[in-house]
Amino acid sequence: MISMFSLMLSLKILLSAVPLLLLSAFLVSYAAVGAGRTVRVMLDFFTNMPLIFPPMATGFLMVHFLGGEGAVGRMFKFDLMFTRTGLVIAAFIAGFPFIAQCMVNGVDAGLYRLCEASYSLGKGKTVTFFRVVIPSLKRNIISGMLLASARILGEVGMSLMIGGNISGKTNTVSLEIYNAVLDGNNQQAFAFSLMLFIFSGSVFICIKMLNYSESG
Amino acid sequence: MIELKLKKNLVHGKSVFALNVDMSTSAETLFLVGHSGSGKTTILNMIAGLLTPDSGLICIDNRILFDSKLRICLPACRRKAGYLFQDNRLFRHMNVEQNISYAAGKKDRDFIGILIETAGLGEIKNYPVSKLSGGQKQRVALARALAVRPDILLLDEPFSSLDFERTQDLIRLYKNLRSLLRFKSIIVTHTVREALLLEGDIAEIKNGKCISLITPEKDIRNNIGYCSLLRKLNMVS
Repeated sequence: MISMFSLMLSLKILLSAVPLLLLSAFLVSYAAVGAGRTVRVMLDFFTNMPLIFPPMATGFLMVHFLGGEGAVGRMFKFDLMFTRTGLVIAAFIAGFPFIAQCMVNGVDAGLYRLCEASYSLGKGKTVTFFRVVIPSLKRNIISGMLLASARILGEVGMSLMIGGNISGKTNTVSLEIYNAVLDGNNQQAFAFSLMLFIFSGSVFICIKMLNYSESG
Repeated sequence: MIELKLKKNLVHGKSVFALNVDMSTSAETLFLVGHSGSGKTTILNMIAGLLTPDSGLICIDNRILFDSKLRICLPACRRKAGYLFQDNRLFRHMNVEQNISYAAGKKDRDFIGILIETAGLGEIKNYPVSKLSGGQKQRVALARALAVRPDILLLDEPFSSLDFERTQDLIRLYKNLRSLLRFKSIIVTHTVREALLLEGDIAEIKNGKCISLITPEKDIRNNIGYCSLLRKLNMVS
């Protein structure tokens, strides 16, 4: 019998992170269009850092800053340790590089030239952003969201540090695989692994189909 | 009257390209002729407001678009400069009509209709732009550039990717649209022959400088223009 709680928890975290990821996708593409060298270096840094920096270390820093005894937590009097909000932030950090990279790739594929065309047609930056930039990046947003979702469901390091892997509270699907193996419940570990494999495989196929339909 | 006084240093790695252009003409159409990399497109970009000169003046029919002395620099969206880019830059998520109405605004429905008919795009107005041929894309891009009712139309090598027939089509369309709307034009071409296909002054640009500005005689235009069309057909060597 698989733990429905873990499955539902992971899905709820994923759904909560979606609006944050979408907002970040808009902000990244807005910043990337016509960005100077400094902005691009900063964007590249924040886009790639969560991929390179170990998730466990990121989780430790989250505890250090966002926990009740952490610098930010103490200043604003909140504690994200062992909470679902903490897990959502961890999910956002894990998914952000994927959606950000997809948006930056879309912008780099000649989008600034379309913006120039829009400006020459008498449209300002806001109209251009909503009527040219975002519609042109539709496929990038979908690809980025799919990749980020797969990554979020597989997130372990940060979730473990900030969530604490508390059974019935913060044990997400990926952590539950670890718990099941520790308990000798290989059947459950296998069921979750298979589920994540099917999800990741579906994501891969969807992205490939998106790319084919674009080039065709 | 087209008045251009442009100074701009463009840095590419360790090399600096200095553009220094000073020209004015009362012709309706001005051709910029020169080799690749001579600065022709850079001049168009400055007029369109996509690139800011270090100093100078851009004045079209007494309307100042840029004046470094008076500290005037209109943003691209307020210059009323229609721009036909070399790579057309049509919006792929819109169909033909949507591309044109994006520029004109939805209130101008009658004008959009006239523009589509004049450009001969009536039958393909609902086509996605990805399904169009090169010639059709150029027609849509030209109609879209004119949908803003520009004071000045900028055309960057409009004939470079077209064969003889498509070139003739585009010239016919250009003339039809000229009779519909009044606007000045600046057309960038590689060769003098292409510049003689239409009436207008010809400025030769070399290494970022205007080295000559001439008004060709009508007879020369007719003769050389005809020869160039023949050459395009490979009928003369």
